[in-house]
Amino acid sequence: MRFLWLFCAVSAMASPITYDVTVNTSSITGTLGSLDFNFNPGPLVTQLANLQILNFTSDGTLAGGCPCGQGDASGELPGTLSFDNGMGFNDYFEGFTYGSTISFAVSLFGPALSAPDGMSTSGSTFAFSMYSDPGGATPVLTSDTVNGYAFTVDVNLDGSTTVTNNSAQTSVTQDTGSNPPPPPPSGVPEPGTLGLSLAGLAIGVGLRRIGRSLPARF
Amino acid sequence: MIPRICRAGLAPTSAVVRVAILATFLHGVVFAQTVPATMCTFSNGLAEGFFGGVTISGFFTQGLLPADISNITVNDLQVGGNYTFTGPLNGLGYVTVSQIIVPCVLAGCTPGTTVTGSAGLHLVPDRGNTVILLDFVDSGEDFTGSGPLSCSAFPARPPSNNPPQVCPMNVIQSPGGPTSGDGMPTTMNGNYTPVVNGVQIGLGSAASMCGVDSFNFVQQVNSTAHPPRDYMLNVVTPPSPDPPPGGLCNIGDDSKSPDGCVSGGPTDNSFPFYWKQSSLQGGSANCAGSPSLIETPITLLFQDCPFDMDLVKSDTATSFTTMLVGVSGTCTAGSTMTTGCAASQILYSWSWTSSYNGSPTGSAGGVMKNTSPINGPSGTGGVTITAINGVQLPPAVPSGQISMTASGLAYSRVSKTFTGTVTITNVSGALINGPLQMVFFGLPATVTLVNATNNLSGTPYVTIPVPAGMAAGQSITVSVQFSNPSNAIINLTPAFYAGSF
Repeated sequence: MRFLWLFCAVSAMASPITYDVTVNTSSITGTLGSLDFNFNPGPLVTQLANLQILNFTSDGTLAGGCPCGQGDASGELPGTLSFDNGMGFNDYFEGFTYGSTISFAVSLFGPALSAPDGMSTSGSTFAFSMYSDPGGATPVLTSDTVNGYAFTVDVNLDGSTTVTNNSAQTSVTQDTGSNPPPPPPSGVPEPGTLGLSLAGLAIGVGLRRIGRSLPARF
Repeated sequence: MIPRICRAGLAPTSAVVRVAILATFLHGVVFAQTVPATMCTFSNGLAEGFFGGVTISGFFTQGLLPADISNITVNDLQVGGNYTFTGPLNGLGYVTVSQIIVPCVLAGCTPGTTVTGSAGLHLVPDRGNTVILLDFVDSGEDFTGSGPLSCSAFPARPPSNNPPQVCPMNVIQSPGGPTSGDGMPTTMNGNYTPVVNGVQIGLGSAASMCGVDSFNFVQQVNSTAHPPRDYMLNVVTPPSPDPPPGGLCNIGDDSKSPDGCVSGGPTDNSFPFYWKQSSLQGGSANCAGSPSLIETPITLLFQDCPFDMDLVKSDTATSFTTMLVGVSGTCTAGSTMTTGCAASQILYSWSWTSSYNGSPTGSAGGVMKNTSPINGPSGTGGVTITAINGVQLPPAVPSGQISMTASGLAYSRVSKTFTGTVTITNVSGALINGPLQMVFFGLPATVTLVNATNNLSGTPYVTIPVPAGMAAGQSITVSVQFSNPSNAIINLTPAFYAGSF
């Protein structure tokens, strides 16, 4: 029996609309799999919309080795991912070894949400999927075995959004502002992270020294 | 590390020769392949250099006998031009003349002169043919990068009970803008982008597969309420070729007779074809006010935005039949017609009507064959497709009677499709008879509607489940699922027909 958990997010044309997402991945801890995020326009006339994945945290491990984005998708996890719906396929796909939990925020904004033009005829849709293989062929933690979506968020023509959650292990709640803000990104350990931090620190110190040695030009 | 390109001493092969070689290879060879070959495609490959980037896309084969083929386009964002590389991957065809003019002050030549460098491309499939590594050099500037790669067997093994398709005949026809005062499309568009196994193979290769030398369109006017006059002021009575030999009359002003025509020389030497030879070599069509090239190496365009300013609602709409034809022989443009070649095959045809009675924005070319901008809101009515390859369609539902909205298209890596919904609403205020057919005109050649009910000579349609018709105000949501390997933007221009196909 297909499990379908559907609810409508209520929005009063506010911008941005943010959903806090938490996935209990404890049943697949240690599995070498993959994550997919995509945000695409519809097949008619679509108004510009933007989306960000914020505050990605997990005790799992990202595979790295990006670029992982296609179309109008930029950034790299665990940092912020930025999407818009300007291309037909705007996607971020990365290998991932599951830990016990994943959490992130989905923030939707842009004219399609803050100022619907009343003339566009297509919305846009965000889809998040988890796979139990690095190639993204076998969906996991979802009842949607046809398409593999854990959950989707539709941007409707009136600027509202609709969430369809197919995953019993996934919690998608709209951040109405009353909740405490999500924790700052703690980062998922990746090879080279420490080295990059040290390099940045060294560059910062170096710039300060150079700045001190330059005479004022007034 | 991507190997650098060796550029010294390689003379670029002419495009004509390369196409001829490619055509020779394909003709009678592709389907005789015994060892499985692979066709790989990629799009949106981005290679970056010190001064900016280039986008690279296209296809290439691996293991095709007697030689591999490819067609790679590099869009140099810096010079605003395109390079096309063909032939075996990284072969002789992968070096060409640069479009960058290097000033002598940089090249060290005689002051006041310039030096033209060369441009070359080197591609390396990587990670089990899932990633393509890119290296493009243009006048010494190096651009490197990568992009996702998709490979599959080529040609795909045909079903055992079907013979292989030896001549790609897929034409995409789509009514399009400008929109008339009552919301109808005023332009009839057609697009012949020959595709084999989901891959665009180019017009030269398609011509070889079809056993012809080139392609063109032929159009006939079946009926019209106001027959026009030719350049000699003779009335052209349908059924008649469009354009007639020498073209239609020179338009003067309506105070002069007959019909505003004035004496003058020939206006169009396209006959017996729709496009004249000069139009096939860099000409453009411009009904919507944004010129589109009529012919590129991979696409032949059809466009017509006829107008009849004297047409009233009681008149019968002007009826046309348009045909994609294979052309044999070498065409020579004369003063009133084209000679030396002939339409040897009708590959695809469709019939359509135009009831548009608006006016051009300027001095448009002709009232039948017209590719100059028209002022959509200046009139009412528009174009409707009435038959495809001789199959008559049921009555079309006027576009203003059904409104349509759609969701976004989420991509599924499981089904490798884009999925979403389309919601249609009867806004006519009355019952629309069933069964109702939603026909997906204008889908890109590489996009397939996976959940189509069926197709009309390649144009997919979905039967809306309302056998008794659609009540006034009723809304129905249908799922749509597209296969889109090239990740092209999908812009639907569906039309609705009331009745069975």
